[in-house]
Amino acid sequence: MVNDLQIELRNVSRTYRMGNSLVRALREVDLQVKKGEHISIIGPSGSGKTTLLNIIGALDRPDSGRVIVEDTDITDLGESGRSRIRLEKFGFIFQQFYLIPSLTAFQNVMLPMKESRVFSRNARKRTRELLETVGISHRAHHLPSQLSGGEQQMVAIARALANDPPIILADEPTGELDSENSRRILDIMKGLNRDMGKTLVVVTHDPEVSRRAKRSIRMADGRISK
Amino acid sequence: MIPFRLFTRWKRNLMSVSAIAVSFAMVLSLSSITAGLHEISRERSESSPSDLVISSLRLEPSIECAHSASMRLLNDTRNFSAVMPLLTVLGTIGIPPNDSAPHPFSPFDDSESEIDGIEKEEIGFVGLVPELAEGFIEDSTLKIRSEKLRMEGWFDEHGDPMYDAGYGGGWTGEILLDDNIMKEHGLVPGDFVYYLDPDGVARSSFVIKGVIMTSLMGGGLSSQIVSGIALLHLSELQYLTGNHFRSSGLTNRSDLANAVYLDLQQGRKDASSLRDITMYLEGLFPGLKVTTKEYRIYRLEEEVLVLEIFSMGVGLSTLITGALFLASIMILDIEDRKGEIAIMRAIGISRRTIYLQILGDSMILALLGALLGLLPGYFGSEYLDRMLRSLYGVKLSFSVFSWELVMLTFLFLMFFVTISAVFPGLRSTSIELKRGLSHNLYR
Repeated sequence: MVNDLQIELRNVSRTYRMGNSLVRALREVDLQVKKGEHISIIGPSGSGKTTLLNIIGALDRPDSGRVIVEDTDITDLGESGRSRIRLEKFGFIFQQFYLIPSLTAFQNVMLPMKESRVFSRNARKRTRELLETVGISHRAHHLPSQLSGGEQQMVAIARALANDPPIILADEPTGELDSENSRRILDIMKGLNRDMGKTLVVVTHDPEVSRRAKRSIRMADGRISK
Repeated sequence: MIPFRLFTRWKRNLMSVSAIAVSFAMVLSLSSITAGLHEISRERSESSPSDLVISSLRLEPSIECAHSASMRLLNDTRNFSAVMPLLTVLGTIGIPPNDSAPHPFSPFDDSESEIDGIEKEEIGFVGLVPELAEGFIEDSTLKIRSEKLRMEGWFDEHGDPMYDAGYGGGWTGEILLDDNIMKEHGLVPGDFVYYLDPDGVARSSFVIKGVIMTSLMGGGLSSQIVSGIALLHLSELQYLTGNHFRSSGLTNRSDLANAVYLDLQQGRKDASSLRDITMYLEGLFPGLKVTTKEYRIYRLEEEVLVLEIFSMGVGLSTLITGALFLASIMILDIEDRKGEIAIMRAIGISRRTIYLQILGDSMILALLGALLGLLPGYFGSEYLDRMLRSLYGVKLSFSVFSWELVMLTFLFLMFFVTISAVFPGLRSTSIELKRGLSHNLYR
């Protein structure tokens, strides 16, 4: 049972200071995600969804509680350890795509592999394969500003898969896309979970996105309510 | 290395590159002049033809009985292999028009000394005794040992008959003249020139017996301050300049020279012998300075060191200013790249990689600046060289522009750029992820 768990949050709390007031974004949250699961986290704005995702993805630290990813307690890891975890364990898909504007689609996808010291020839080969998988290989040498929103998100997915991480974290992946592009993105993400066995954690407002997940978690006031 | 984005902010980067180029060019120019001065000093020191020099601490000739004392020292064959008294004075030589008839005369002749159409040159006169100077000449090429100074032609009279006659006769009227002056005035061996006194009156004619190839000289700043040099018999120069006999009040002085050069016998050149002989000579010539080659090298290097320190100071300050300017531009750039850096951090790029990225960007800009500053640096050094040459009125080169110098300057530049890139590098790694991600990427 323990070996099946890929992500575990124990009693995690996080408070932010906004001006003079404190915002309790997460309150004693417990969460367990098994390998290969596809879960969605839904809830109104300010309910703590993105904070939860950031803490899972080692982008943020909890004030209290423990975060364990693949049997490694990442709560107290130093900055270099957290970078390594983000690089190897997680693929990130953001609502605003977050591609590097000065790099082409190809270079954006190559970036995590360069950091992982993947041999250049192999990295190029894998980049071509990934861009083909997401159907954007014909736009490989375009800058993000020359791509549509849907295309940019395809590139972001390809980048998230670059180092073949076991976990994909997506924050409102279709939030800035039209329905046609949203459907394509969701199909691809479904494929990542179903065909590649990636664990998928998706934060969304969109009921359609949530419906595609095997498990939905509802958040309200920094707590998991369901 | 992550692909960089230098040229997306090309105006800003052009400013950085230009600042580096200017500082690199300035340092290169200054360094080439410093290296040139060092080279001159080194050559001058190494080409010193003698083991010991007796000289006075004053500018005017102060060694009394120089010729006779030299002969006495030369007889001390246990210690000395060659001895040469030398009198050096600045003066004026008169060159007659090419078509004028030879007009030989000596100071003892009752002759007309006003010559029409004469051209004047300020030169350095060197008085020597040919047969003693020959002790310092290596072979038949008439090349003075260790110096790049060669003569074509030599005195017919090897001795110093004027001295032998108690400064009362035996005038040879022989002179060896600088090749530059010879060329400039179309003179050839056998032509006549005149020694002019401070009032411009010709005191004696001289027939050119040989040419001093000074254009072959690599070093010797002081010997090149004048436009040329001429060699005369010691006693004749002493007579013309009043150094054969000088009376001031109760003191009478005769046979004056500026320096006596001495070469030691083989086996007497070790430090201990040098020390003993130096003390012996200081006893013989009270009030005069006896210097070894090592001491002269030390003094020259000491003088050049002051210049080196000054130009190094100016150069390093310029490089540091350039590097700091680049660092400021990098900090501005990092502010603009906050979003980009935060994305990199978010997807797992380490702080170390980002730091190295900033360092790499700085180095590429510095490299471009150095490349851009190379030619201006070269022309700057040429300009300074010309300026110094015209300032001193000499023909030697003050500038040494070598690839070693370029590499050394480049390494210094890279050192300062690396140091000054520390702050922007640290700034880039301290960007808060959440704040960075909210930064507008497309500003």
